[in-house]
This record gives sequence, C-alpha cells and structure tokens, in this order.
Amino acid sequence: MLSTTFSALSDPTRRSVVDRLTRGPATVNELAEPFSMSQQAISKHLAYLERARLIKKRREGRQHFCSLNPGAIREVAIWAESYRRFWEESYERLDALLEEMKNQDGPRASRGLRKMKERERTKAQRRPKHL
Amino acid sequence: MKTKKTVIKAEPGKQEVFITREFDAPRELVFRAHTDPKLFVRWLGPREYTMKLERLDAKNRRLLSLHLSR
Repeated sequence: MLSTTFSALSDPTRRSVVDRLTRGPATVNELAEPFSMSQQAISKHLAYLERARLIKKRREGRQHFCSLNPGAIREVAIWAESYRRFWEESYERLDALLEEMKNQDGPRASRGLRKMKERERTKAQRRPKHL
Repeated sequence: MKTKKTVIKAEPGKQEVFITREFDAPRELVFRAHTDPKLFVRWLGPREYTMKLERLDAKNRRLLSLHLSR
C-alpha cells in the first residue's frame, strides 16, 4: 500500500498536483493549467494518483472534479512519524546516559585522580632516598 | 529543563538525512556516546530491542555488524 503511494508521489508533476489539491478540489483543466502538458498526459498522472488512492474523482455534469483523499497521505505521515519517534526516544535515552557520564567524568573522577596522586606521593615519601 | 526538539531534514534529491538535536552536555561526551560501541548500544535503537554492536568505525562513518534482538 505504502509502495503504491510512494511510487505515485515519486513524480514531481504528481506531487504538485497533490500540493494544489491541498488547497481544495479542482477540475482536470485547472490542474492541467500550470503545466505545459497535454490534457492526456495530465489525465494519465491523475489516473495514477487515483489508483494509489491519493485523490478522488467526482463527475459533475461534464466536469471532472478532483479532490484529495486524506487517508493515503495520513498513512505516509504515520510512517514518517514512527521514524521521528525512533530518534526522539533514542535521544531521550542519550540524555540520560550523558547525565550519567557527566557525573562520572565530573567531581567523582577528579577526586579519584587526586586520591591516586596522593597515594603515589606518600609511597614516594616512604621510599628511602638512596633507592 | 527546556525541550530539545529533534529536527529531521531531508533535502530533495539527496541521499542524506540531517538530524539536529541539542544536548545538555560537553561535546566530548556526546562524541564519545556516538563512537564507543559500548555506549552507543545503550541509547540507540527501538525500545523493544536489545542492540549488540560489534564494530563501530566512526572515522570512516561506517557502522559494522549490528545485531538486534528482542
């Protein structure tokens, strides 16, 4: 299902048709207008979008009206959203890990280093000078 | 704490995805969390999976052998 949607959206002409339809329904003539394309070519694109359930066609007298079918777009949005959530969740864990690392590298680490140096100093003092 | 928004940007016609996110930590720590395999698996990945990363080649921007298990 998603494959059909993405394949339909892989063409710039079809994407701008979808873009135009977000602003409301339009006739086939209106949709064809911004493109230097034959009506036949546009109709082919529209049929592709219709098959992918991205748009709906409705006939009123002699006019064909196209409108957006929000369902398919929503599927794309849900799919993309899952990736955003993947990163957000991961980064929240990274926040927690960084806090942990900050605490380890911060006061505690330098205190440990100080103690180690102190131990080495006392050892050196205890060592007889001539050795 | 202020909210840190993750911004994911993909430019048309390009293969890369750019993710921008701010972290409240020194950059050396953020870098280490991205390059040390032991630290990397602790935060990256879907919640329901455990990740096992055998090699991470940060210099060549390559991630090698990654295992996901439930």
